[in-house]
Amino acid sequence: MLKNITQQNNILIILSSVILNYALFLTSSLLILIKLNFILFIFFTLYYLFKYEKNKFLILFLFAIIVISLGTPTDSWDARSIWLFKAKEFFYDHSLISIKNNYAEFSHNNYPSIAPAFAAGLSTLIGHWNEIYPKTGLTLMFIPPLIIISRFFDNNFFLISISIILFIVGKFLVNGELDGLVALYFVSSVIIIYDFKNLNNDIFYQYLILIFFLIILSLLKAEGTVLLVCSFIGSLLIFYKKKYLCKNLIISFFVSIIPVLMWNYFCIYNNIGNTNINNFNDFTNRILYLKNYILIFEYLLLNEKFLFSLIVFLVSTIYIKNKDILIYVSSISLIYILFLFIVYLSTPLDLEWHLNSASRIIKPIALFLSIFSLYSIFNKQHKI
Amino acid sequence: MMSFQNNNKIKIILVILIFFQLLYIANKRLTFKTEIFKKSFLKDFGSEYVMTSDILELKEITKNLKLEKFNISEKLSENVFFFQRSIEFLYPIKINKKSENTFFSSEEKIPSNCNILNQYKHLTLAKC
Repeated sequence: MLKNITQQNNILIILSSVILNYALFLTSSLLILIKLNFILFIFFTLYYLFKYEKNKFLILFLFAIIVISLGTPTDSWDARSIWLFKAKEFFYDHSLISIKNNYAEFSHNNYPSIAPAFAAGLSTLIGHWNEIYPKTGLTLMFIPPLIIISRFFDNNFFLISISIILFIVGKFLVNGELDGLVALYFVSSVIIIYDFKNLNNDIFYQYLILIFFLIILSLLKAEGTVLLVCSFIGSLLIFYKKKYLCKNLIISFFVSIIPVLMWNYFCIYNNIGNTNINNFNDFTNRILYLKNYILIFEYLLLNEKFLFSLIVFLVSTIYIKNKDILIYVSSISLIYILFLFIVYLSTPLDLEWHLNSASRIIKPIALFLSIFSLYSIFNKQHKI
Repeated sequence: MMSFQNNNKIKIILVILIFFQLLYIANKRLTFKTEIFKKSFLKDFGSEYVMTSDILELKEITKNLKLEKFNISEKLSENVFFFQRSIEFLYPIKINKKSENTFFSSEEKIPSNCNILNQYKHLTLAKC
């Protein structure tokens, strides 16, 4: 039976077990189902890595980040106060629905919870809680996007992509925070979308993989939903002449956004609130002052990882001269950066204090610029 | 350029670079310890690396007294680290403002409407 599972089906099974785990916690399902689902995730991940993975270095890399994750304490503030606290709640309550009580508002109960649910799935399988291993559940969630990155790069190019990921995402691969996951699920999604250019037939499974990636991206953090919308706009700009592709992309995006819309409806209906709600008054108070723009610019864009990626992207664009990639990457990046400016201008918190998160929030775009530079160079060389 | 893609010398350089990047993340950006790795799956392990002694004491007391909910003083609530860490670390034991069992810092003056139940190294438990 296993012989009939193709590479694409295997990726779909891995992705669906991540989504199913979330659904099982949402519906307060039996613990045995949660455990079985997690075992399936591990089994099909190992099956994929040893049967289909062409870059065997990925196995070593995954092993290394899992070891680091298991050998470091969980001490990051957001990891403890938000993501792993949610995971602990889901583990002890066997359900996500307990957030309706709005206990411990500092943990932002209305944030989407697919990643904490996955960490809770691992803890359910192990059977007890501690302060070390549950964050490894979040590290395991890096496997699907790393498999996708590996599908698009071979040998030394793949090693460069891993080095770029380590440079930009760094400790966020293992420390229990979600910004690295957002960056990698986003980059995997946009690279799958862009690759539709090169596919002529049998792209049904590619659409399914894309939908699963976008669903997970939007259920990681609020930025994930914004990045989903940005990707949608960017892809329409390059595919607007291909009616068939456009139609399928529109369907994919609307299907993908349904779960996060349902989650938000659930939170609003149950009055599950966020302690930091951005508002129009703060926005109008800040919008006319140039110093606010300079401050946001400094924190958001004068970031060494973003600047490195931007320079690499500009150099590769001059060298490769790929107009589609230029339009695609620039439009998505600019829309997202514009969104971040609006969010920071309307924050109810002290602006400079809130901007401490800027270096984390810009990671998806920094990784996007670098990986697409590498992608365009890699594909140019292949055509030659 | 295909030679670049498959060049073994470049491959070795990249693998060494990745190795050092991982080493940097594990040791400089985070504090990797082999003793943590070895015990990483033990029940309740790891709190001593991330929690302060007063929060560890709070957990010990609530566990020994089999409390399902507890309350902390205004002063302890104002300490954001103590407040958030005690809530997430003690879960499923929950903080509840209506709970009579209130914990104070051992340096705090206990209000007159509270009866001291026990004094510990870092905390005082009172019924309020």
